[in-house]
Amino acid sequence: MKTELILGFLVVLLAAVWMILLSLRKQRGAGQAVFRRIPAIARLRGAVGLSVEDGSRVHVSLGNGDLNDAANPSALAGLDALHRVGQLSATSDQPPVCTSGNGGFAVLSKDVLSQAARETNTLDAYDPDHGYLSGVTPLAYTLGAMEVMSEPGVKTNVFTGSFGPEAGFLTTASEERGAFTLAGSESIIAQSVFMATARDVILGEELYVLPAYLVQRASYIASLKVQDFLRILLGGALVIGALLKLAGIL
Amino acid sequence: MADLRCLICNRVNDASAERCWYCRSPLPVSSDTPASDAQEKIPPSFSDANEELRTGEKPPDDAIEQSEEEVPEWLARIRELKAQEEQVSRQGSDRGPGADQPPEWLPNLSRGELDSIEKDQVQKALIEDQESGENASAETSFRDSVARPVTGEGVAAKDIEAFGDPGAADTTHPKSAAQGEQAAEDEAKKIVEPVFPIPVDDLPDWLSEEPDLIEKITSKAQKLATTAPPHDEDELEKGALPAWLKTLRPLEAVVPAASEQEIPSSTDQEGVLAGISGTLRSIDLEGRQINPALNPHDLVVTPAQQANVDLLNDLIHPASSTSLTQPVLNKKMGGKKFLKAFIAIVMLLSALLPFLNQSFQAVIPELFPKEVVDAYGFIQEIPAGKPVLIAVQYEAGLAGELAWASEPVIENLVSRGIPMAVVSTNVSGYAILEEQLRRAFTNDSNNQFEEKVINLGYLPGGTIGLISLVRDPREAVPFSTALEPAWESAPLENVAEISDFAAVLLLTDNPEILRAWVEQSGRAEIPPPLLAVVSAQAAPLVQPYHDSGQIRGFIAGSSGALSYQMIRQVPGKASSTFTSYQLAVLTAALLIFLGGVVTLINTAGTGIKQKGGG
Amino acid sequence: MRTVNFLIAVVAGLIVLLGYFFPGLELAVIRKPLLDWAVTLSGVAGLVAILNLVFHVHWKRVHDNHPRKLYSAVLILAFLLTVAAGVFLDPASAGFQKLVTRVQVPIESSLMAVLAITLVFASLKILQRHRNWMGFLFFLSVVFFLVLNSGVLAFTAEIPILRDLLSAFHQVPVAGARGMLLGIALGSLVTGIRILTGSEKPYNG
Repeated sequence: MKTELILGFLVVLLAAVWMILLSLRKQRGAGQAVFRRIPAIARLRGAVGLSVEDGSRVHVSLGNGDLNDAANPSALAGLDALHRVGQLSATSDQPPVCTSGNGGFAVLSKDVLSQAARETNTLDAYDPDHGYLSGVTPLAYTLGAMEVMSEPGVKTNVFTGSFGPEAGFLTTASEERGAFTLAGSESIIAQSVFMATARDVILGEELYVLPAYLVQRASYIASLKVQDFLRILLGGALVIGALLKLAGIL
Repeated sequence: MADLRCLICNRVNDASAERCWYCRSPLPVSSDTPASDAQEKIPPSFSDANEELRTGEKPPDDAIEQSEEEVPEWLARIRELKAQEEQVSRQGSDRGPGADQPPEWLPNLSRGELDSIEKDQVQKALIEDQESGENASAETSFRDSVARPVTGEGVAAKDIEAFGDPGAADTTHPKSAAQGEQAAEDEAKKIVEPVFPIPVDDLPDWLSEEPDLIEKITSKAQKLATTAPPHDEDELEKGALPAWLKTLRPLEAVVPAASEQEIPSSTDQEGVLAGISGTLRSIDLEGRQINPALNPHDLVVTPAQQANVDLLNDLIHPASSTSLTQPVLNKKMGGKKFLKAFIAIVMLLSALLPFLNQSFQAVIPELFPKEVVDAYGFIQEIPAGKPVLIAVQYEAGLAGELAWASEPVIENLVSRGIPMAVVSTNVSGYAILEEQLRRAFTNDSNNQFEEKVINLGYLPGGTIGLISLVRDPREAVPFSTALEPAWESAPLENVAEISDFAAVLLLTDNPEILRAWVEQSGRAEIPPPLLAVVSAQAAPLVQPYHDSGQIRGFIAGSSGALSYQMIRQVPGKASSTFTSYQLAVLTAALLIFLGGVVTLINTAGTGIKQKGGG
Repeated sequence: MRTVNFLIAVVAGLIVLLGYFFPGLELAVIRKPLLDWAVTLSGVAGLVAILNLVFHVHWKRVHDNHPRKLYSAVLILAFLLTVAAGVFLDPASAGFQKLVTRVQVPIESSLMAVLAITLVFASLKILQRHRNWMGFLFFLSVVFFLVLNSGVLAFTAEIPILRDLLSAFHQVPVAGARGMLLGIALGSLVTGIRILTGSEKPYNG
């Protein structure tokens, strides 16, 4: 068996066990999670609140990543954000709408919206068409999402998922309409486009901490802690490996 | 003559006034008034006390004795009852320091300090009343005195204390010499004793038991009616109202209230006030005239109301809102559109100019990138009969760039007669590439497309599809797009596993696809060599894979394709379009740089203005 | 029912994961069909989503007199024609492929050209949007790497110092991207573990 497979399995196993233990343990005293301030996410919370107050709509877009791809966790983080937005918007006049470029995520978005409606006892206001596939190709999906953004009631746009350079259309359109725009993707290309075209951008792994910032659930906090530890571990291993390579040992 | 202090509102009135100017309640009797009949009815104690207040002299004792004899039986009974109550309360409760003192609210009523002499005299009179057992409690006697302002009954000393100095100057009611003279003239005619407030018919039982009481009351009323002095309004000086009162009562807007003379003092026979005499009457409203507004039906809209209407209109009809900011927004939108159009024209010109004017020459790279050289070298080493798997995943939008980038590689493969199998992991990739392959084979007469190329079509499932392809390609894509068994055709008859391919050439714009291929193909027992043609945007992300040896080489964008053509020394589209590409990129860089500089200048200018203004 | 959903998700995930890490465990017997079902399900989900888009979302717009109902009608018509062409003409036919290459490629290529102009226009205001050191650094890097990758600095190949310097600059975005990708990989890992352990259930509507 290959070494990398064993190592990979151990990392996954330890991370899973530790996450379960941390999520079961109560947060007390020094063990309490201290969240670094991410201004974009803080503004998102405010924007969602304002949307609820003034009766406007929140649009969440999950990108065109495939459910079977390794990049789908970014869209899963977007689904978490959609769930939270759906809960917060339960008292709003206009429930949130979700667009995606993949059939699997379109079905999941309907599921998440119905879950949020059930939790907030607003099933009578739930419309399955609020989560739909807006296009099968990336550009077709982008244009379909832009059509949703062009509705007068949409004043908050959240782009979290797998995007390509065509996401520039989404963010520029949103900025031109004066809507609040939060953009994040696992794709480096999309992140650079977002950085150039949007004000509130979440870079890198900040996308995966979005659910924890919106809902401080024990499982989210536990996964954040595990993520932080693994990052430190990985960074240390890289530095040590580089030093060993310089020393000629490796 | 000393002024009169009202017992209700404690304000000083002119001595000749019968009613308080402020609250219209009857004023206490003046000692100088010659109304002998009324005076006969005043209880001696009270009249004596009044005399003390006004003259400062204590009335003779015999007057007090005479007055005591004339107290009506019913009043005496009341006094006895109250005296008994007081005795009981004194016995039951502990005598505190303030037990015999007047209530706290009573002294607060006094506006000024009593004249010390008058105060002493009043107190003495009251104390005598107390000792004689005719004193009432402070509160009830005060109430009685209000109901019966001057009835001749005794008033407690503490009650009079609370009234304050009757001689104190009242700034709200300035007096004049003329007023004083007028008062003196009217004194003789004034009746001190007010009308008995309770109508004869409504007397309570205990009052009606008095046999001659009704006669006394009615005789009083008759005398009042006959001897009421006429008021000469012309001689009366108009009162100077305080400013705060004037603001409440805009006298110019309404007809002035009728004078006292107009108010009938006789008892009404009908209406709410039937049977009650001496009540305040209002003027006849039927004859009252209020001038209406000049144009009552005209709508007067204030600017604030207009602003609110505009806001409401904007809420209801957001599309048709005509707010004041609309022209500004339109101007801004117009400016943006102009700038966008300008940028588009500049970019298009920079892309088209090299085609229109051959004098534009690009800066050709002198060194070839290592990854391009490696890719060329590997392809040159591929055996002629061993097929190459071309995996396509790029969208139609980037077909132009990838077609130009992959053209030299495909032409190289075609020129060497290498069989190719095409598979795409997106729905349109295989169709786009097939057209490109057909064009390439059209230019090459030595080989035929149908003999050298097999199109395996679309492989669904993304990464999962890749897993199945790497594990068993025959099972993953058993048929070609022509619905014929793919693995029985000439190009692929000797291919059983993925490693049987000479190489996997990946055409993609997404570095994640390359990563998936690297990961999944690396799980095969013998991983096939990987080559890639990628979009320029993916080059930095693909570089590490080449540096680590996971891919043999890659060509990135137009610059990579140009290098490949230069290595092959075969002309192609990359060389003819590289100038256009270079000029467009430099133009974009210049525009972005200028935009940043302008933004910096504007920001700095705004900051300087703010500092200067602050 | 929710417990059943949860169990199916967790068990299937564990089987696939263990089958990946331990190929010798002979889990391929179960893993392969699961993966095939996943591919089929994603295809069916895609088909359902497309039908929902065409015959529910856009049909509703046509029916409800939406302002853009004409475009929805065109979309429905184009969809029906393409489906008919795909059914009656096989995917290998030149005619069907021309439908893709002559329609989709020009449209999407034009949109990408518009995207280039849109990105340049939006990039003019980078400093306005990000008024901090990071924004300034990003602005400088955009301009610098556009110039670097255009190839105009090819003359520096003859100057060793400049050649080495530019070569080092070429590695900077690579290194930065690596760091970001590592963080993204960790985030993906913990998100996947959350799904596997049942902490997150996006499927439990």
